[in-house]
Amino acid sequence: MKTVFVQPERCVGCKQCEIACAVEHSQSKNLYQAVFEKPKPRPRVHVGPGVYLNSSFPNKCRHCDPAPCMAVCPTAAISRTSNQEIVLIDGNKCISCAMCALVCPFDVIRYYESTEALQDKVVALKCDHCVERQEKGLEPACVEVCKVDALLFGEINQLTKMASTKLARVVSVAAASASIETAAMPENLEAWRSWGRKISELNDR
Amino acid sequence: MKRCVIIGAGPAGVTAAETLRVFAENLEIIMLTGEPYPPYSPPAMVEYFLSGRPVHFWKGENFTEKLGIDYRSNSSVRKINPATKAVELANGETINYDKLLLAAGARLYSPLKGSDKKGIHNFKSLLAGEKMLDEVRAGRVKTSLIVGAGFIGVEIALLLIELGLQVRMLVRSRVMREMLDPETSAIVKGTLLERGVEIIEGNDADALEFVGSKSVEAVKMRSGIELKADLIIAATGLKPNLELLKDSGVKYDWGILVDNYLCTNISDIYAAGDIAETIDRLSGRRYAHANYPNAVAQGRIAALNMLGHNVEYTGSDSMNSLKHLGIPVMAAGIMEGEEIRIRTNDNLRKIWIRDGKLVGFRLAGDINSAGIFLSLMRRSVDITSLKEELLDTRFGMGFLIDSALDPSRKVIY
Repeated sequence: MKTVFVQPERCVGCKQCEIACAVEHSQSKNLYQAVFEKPKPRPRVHVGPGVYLNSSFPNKCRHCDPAPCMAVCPTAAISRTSNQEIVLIDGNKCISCAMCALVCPFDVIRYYESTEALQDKVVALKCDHCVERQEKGLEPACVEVCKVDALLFGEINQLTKMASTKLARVVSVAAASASIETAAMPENLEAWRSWGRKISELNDR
Repeated sequence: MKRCVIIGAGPAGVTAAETLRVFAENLEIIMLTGEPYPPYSPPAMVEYFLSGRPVHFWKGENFTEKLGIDYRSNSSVRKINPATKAVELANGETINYDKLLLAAGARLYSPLKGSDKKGIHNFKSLLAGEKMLDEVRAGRVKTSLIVGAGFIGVEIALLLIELGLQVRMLVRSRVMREMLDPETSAIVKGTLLERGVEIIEGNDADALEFVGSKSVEAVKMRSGIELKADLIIAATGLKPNLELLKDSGVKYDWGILVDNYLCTNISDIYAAGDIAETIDRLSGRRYAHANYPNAVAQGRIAALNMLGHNVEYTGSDSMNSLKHLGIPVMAAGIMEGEEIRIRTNDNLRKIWIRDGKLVGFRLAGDINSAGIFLSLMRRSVDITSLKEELLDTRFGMGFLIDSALDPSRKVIY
């Protein structure tokens, strides 16, 4: 299963993913024409500010399974694709009751006019994982345009393995310098650890 | 279990049937409803009446056929008999069950004098809604009077205004008093007035009376003044459909009493949806939570337990979202503890915090971050270090990610 993986520490808040997303979901798929379209194409990824001066986070649908938005939709406008990977909203069925936005723990659903809905009607919009691009073998528009690799596209297992390996390294380094043990380490264990450290040092030479 | 009987075809009953079918391909499922329609979604009724599009048949009109459910419309249940494990229909037919799910929903509750008069409309079922709309479609009615300004009352008012009727509402103290704080309530009232709804406050239900010689013609107020209207609608509250439980031994108070597995006091009989009393996740209070998400969640859990999977129900959520108003309004949780708020024109965000936890919020206009608030609330996250930022107009996932990455902030989202 493929997914978009976010590395928030890399995001610089340039919002190019937002523009690429809006253009991808426009009728013309061209930036210069898209700005004049009605309804105005909207991004489905939202770069929000962080707590610190220059931190930001590109926020998009996680395509949860089970998806809380899908469970509460009273018109069954939210469904999964047949391969179960993508959660989609059918703007034509949406009655904009906003229940999906109320239960989305990631705050990824917005309400705008859409080409899928009747004119002047505001409906729920969110990331469709660029389902059309994926069918053509392309990666999602937001990933393609990201210049700092804050957004990566790939197999979910590979991406999470990469992240968990990195995390395990960080934890093992931190554990070497601090101990949460309440009792003193037994002598044999201490010797086992120091043997390991010695071997690592020899390896590093 | 060979045969499961489900009484009721609303969101709870339908979700239960879907869940049963996923886990038990060959189980015989019989679904009984007193109404003449395929299963429908009550929250989508307004949209259907406005646009004529059948969005309310949300699972498709041939859903029960596709799922292999023996669906019996026009089949009201007269009583149930746990001793013989049988359900008796109004036409005299009896149906035996191995497991029974009570998901018959709720109906209008009207404490007003004269409530038994003919011609009083309500909106608690598609049948009732169609009856009301028949009058409108036929052009027989020009003026309308709604008693009650709860969630349903406001929805009806907006529907009728859109359909071109003159609308008056009789309100006890203020609009949506139970769900909203006075300030948010005033925003809703302002919007209703702008849309042309006339609101008459100070009308307690026990001081009102439906009057008319044969059928209802007017509502008499405390002052003695009678307000006439072509269409008179009661939106005074809901009452679980418990008549079929008479002499059955199934225990109930306001609604059916269930344990943490949604089983009634009689094993093999479960209850879900508006008919059941469940525990509120936050307040711990037990009551009938009439909303779609709770009904769906309960239908699923009841089905899993009927199948013997022992899944505990973690509690209901008091939450709702008002559509069709023109501006979005959301309400979730309780209004207790410390209140923090920010307001710019008609954008109002209010949050209640108790013991460092977010316990409720009311939003009007700007509804961004509503899902984050609900998630923080449901999981009782300690938001002490976020308190200053919750009402920041820029608040969102970015704030939470930074807070989660920074151990000094002690926020675990």
